[in-house]
Amino acid sequence: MIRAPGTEDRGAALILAIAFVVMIGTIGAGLAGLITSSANNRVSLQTLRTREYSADGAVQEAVAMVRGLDSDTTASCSAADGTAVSTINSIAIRVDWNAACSIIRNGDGELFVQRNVVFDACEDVGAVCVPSAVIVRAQVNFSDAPSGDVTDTFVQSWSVNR
Amino acid sequence: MIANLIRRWQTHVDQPRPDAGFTLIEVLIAVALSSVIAGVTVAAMLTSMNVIDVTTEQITTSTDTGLIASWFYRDAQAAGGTAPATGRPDAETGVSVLHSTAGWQGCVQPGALVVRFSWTDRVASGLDRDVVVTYSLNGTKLTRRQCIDGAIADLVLGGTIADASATCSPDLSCVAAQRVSLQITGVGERIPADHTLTASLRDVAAPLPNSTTSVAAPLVVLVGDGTLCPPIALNGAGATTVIGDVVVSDACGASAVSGDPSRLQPGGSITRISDVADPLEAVVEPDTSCTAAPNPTPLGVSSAADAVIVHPQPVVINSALALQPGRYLFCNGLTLSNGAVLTGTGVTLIVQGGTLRVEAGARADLWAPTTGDLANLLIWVMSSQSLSVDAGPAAVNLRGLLYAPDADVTVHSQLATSLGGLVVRSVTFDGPGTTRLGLPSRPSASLRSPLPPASRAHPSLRSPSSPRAALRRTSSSYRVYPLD
Repeated sequence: MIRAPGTEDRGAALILAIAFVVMIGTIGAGLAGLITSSANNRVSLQTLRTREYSADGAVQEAVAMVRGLDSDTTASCSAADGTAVSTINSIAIRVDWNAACSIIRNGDGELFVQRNVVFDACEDVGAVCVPSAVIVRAQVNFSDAPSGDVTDTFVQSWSVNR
Repeated sequence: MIANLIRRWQTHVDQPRPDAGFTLIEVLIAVALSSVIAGVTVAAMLTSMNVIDVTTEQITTSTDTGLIASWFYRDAQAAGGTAPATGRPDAETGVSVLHSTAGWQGCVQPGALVVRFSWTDRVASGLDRDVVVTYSLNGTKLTRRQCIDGAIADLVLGGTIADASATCSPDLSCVAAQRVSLQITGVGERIPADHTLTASLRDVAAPLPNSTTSVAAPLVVLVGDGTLCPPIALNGAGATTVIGDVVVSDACGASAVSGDPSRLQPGGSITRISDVADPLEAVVEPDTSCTAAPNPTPLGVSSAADAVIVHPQPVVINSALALQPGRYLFCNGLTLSNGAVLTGTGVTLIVQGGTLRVEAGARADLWAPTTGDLANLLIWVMSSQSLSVDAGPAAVNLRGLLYAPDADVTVHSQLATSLGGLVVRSVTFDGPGTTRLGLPSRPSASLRSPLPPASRAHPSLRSPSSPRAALRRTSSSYRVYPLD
């Protein structure tokens, strides 16, 4: 571009450049904010899900463990409570279980003992799961045949609390 | 010619000109080219902006759907449940898509109900929590509200939802549904996002227990206000054999039995349960009322198996009486005195008021109904009292449950007493004779096996040290039961 002699710089190019930079900056900031927000949401959701799935798996592991215990002694309705800690997805989950047995009447009017167990799963902090920290709580029925074998397990309630 | 024009244009360009502007042709060409470029650019920008809008709408709805899904599935999995006291599905919980008060189940929020999930969070301490979760569409906002014992927590799952509806399948009423689907439509006008989320529901219909899958509990001691501890007293000389487990509330602590504990011989174990629930609490009383009218005559006559025969006045039986199948309601007590021989099949004796007395010398051989709401319920004592079943020198065979949740029962066995089961506040066994609790209670003269049938249902015992092994050992002493 040939500039006429004596013509002064009027700053149009600078203004345009500044406007361009501002626009790009704004768009960039908006995009960055959106990406950051989405990433944070994704991380939060993933953390929540991972914790839930870990607790889910830990409860199932504990159910299998209790099923294998002796229903006459360590896993009886009168037995002491139990605890297990599992590390799943790099999260240490503590599961506490307590007997919650009941008597029910079948269709013939006969009464039977039902060995129900409540499982509380929370992140392991080295202490019993407090109610506010329970991630998954489940009540499972173990069908104890007169032979002493567990013939079936049945989930009576399953509550994801956190 | 073209070459000539180019040559002239080249000459024209090469000539130094003091006024170096653009020619009209150049300007026109530039304008034309610029217009073409600008047109294409604007068109591209408009297209991009349209695509951006549509894509943004779809991504937003998709993000909302992802968030909805993460909550929808966990709520669907939690919905419903089995009532531990009955072993049957809990009718108060589950899924609903009804736009009604029942649909909201108390967890109302602004907007239209899309779907409701409810369940009971069973807590070992017994402080169960009722959880209700509702999904509501208010404008374009889909909100999940969680209500737990009056505490409310809201969570906005989506802000770009134009429509949301849920359906259950295969049962559209959701009562026996196996799946629930949520259809979500985004607010986009040009290409609205449309997603369907389908979640499986847990099967809450557990099979009811029977003698092959569970251990029977013929003796249930509920314990209650005013019960003297321990609630099971073994004061007699004879053994009390229980074909199954003895279940006793732990309200009295670790000591459940007084007297000689060796005389209580359960086939299973003695199980202490915290706050043991009355297993017959749901049984409905007969819809009749006691009046001052005289008793019906003759006694023992019933028009149908489910007919209720009301006896407003006290009843004393001291001779042979055969009861026809039915429900006999005694408003002011029933006494079986010396000389009574009471027989009947498919009968239930309901002592609504007064006392029940089975005196020494009375003889009874009664069978409870085998079907219906009163199945296996032979004697129902509603009032609080001290109840005595005195088998005396004769045999008393009550083939069914003696249900007296507010009574302290004494079973005095002179020779042999056989009961289908006891559900009582407390129980005392005394007398020199034996007592047997559990089904089947009918002894047989042709019994060849040393084991009663119920005991033979326990063939494989895991270890000799198992308490269940005691059943075989103790049951091996069974030879003869009292005959009618």
